[in-house]
Amino acid sequence: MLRYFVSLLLIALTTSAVAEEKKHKKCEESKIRIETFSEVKTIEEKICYGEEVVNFTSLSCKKQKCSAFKFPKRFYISEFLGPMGTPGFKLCREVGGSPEIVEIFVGGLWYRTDRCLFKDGFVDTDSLLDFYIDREPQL
Amino acid sequence: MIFGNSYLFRVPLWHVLAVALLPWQAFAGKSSECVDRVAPARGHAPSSRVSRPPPKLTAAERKKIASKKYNDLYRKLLADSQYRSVSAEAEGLKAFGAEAGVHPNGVAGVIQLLRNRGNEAVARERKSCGKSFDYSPRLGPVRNQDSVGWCYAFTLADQMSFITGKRISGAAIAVNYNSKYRWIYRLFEPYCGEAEAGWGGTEVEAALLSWKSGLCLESQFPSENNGPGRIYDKIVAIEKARKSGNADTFKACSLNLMPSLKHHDIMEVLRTSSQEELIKSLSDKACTNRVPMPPLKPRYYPSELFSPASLIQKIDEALASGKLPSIAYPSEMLFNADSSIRKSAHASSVVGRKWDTKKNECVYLIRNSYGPGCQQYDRRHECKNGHIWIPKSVLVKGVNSVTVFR
Repeated sequence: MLRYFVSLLLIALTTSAVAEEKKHKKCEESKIRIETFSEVKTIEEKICYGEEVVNFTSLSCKKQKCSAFKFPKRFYISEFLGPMGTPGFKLCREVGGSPEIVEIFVGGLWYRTDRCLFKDGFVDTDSLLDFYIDREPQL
Repeated sequence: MIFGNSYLFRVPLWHVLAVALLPWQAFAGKSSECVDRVAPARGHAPSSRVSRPPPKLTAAERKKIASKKYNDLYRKLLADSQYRSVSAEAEGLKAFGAEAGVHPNGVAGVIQLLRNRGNEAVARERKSCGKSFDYSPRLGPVRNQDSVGWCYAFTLADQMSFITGKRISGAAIAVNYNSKYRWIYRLFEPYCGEAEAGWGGTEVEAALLSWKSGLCLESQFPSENNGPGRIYDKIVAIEKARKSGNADTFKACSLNLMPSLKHHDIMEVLRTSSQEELIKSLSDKACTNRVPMPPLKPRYYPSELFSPASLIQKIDEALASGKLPSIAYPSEMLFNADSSIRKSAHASSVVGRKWDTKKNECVYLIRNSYGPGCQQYDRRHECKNGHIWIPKSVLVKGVNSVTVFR
């Protein structure tokens, strides 16, 4: 019985790890282009991304260990829909981050996206929403 | 014009009886939240949810809850079966019906009815949705409205870009619209929210205002400003610099907002423009190669005058004739197809339509202005680069108006 339980547990953990790995599987040196008031600056930093390049994190946030994922509350999406701006930008501010539109350079191409910047890392606002949002109760 | 829904009058008597037999007092109770809103512990998958232990209920209470669920599901499937097959979900009525004390024959009859309606709908819809459209490649990447409530302007900019073949600035459309009033206050007064009355009307108004001035190119007045200074931060900074008389900051911020501005133009605006017209004056100086507004009239179809099915028909007609319709709708439906909340007033263009073979339903391509990500949306919606395919059965419940330029 115990062996059975342990096997199940192992399978569950492996599946979860594989799923997580799949989500942000590649980490590589990349360029991030940000426009500020006075200049357009390009920084070089390692980013991790999954199937979609626009869903990316800093290396420090790869395993959800940075402060982006430590806010002790979940939200309903309706709290961020209106009146101004995108829900991703609002959530970012709510959990203590600073949102900005950026361009990231991956595989020879620039991708225009956004990120939520924290003192110890960053994550795109789309992934952040996915992490914190409870969908309204379904039928 | 079609008012109401003729399907509701074709429901057989035994079906009505099956529903009437339900204990109606069950519907008086308020639904309760079923999840705790606590962030998952570190390392948990984002989708994990912490549930409260179920409360102990009496048999009567369980019956009430089952009756409510039966009724809710029945109503949803009755509406959806106008557009898609609901056979699999209809089986769910059996369990709720048994617990609610509905006679099994009645439940079986209801399921059969829903099945037939759904099958008829699939045959009909497949035929009417036969031709696919996808105009998204002609529009380039989706926009990101970051912190401003300019969805109507971004949507109009997409429609105008589609017609003119040039990337039109949504910010310039918004500034032009806002200049009608003391714009800085207008900027913070949302259109894309519940505070503003007249859903969708503003897009038409913005179009009419653009008629006089012409359209500005995105390259001359970028709609998405980057960095820590988001678009309205920059506009506010320009305002402050003007007030304080700091010419250097005024110049730097103006150039940052509108890169094509010339030094002497900025200084002229600084000298001559009123506070209310400041950004508009800068925009007028920056947008030198204005594109004339195409000689098309905006046709506005509000839900107050047109049934949901007619609005969808307007979308179909527009797409079939090579036009790009826009819709006003609650953005909740992008995040949860089943959400009963319809509060937020949002606008997007509809850039495609196809028959979804997996869903066996007609789906419409919504071009949103929340950036290129797709993780945030309901996983049941197919999504790519910020474009979301919404099933017709979902769209029909949310569309508040349609605007087409003809």
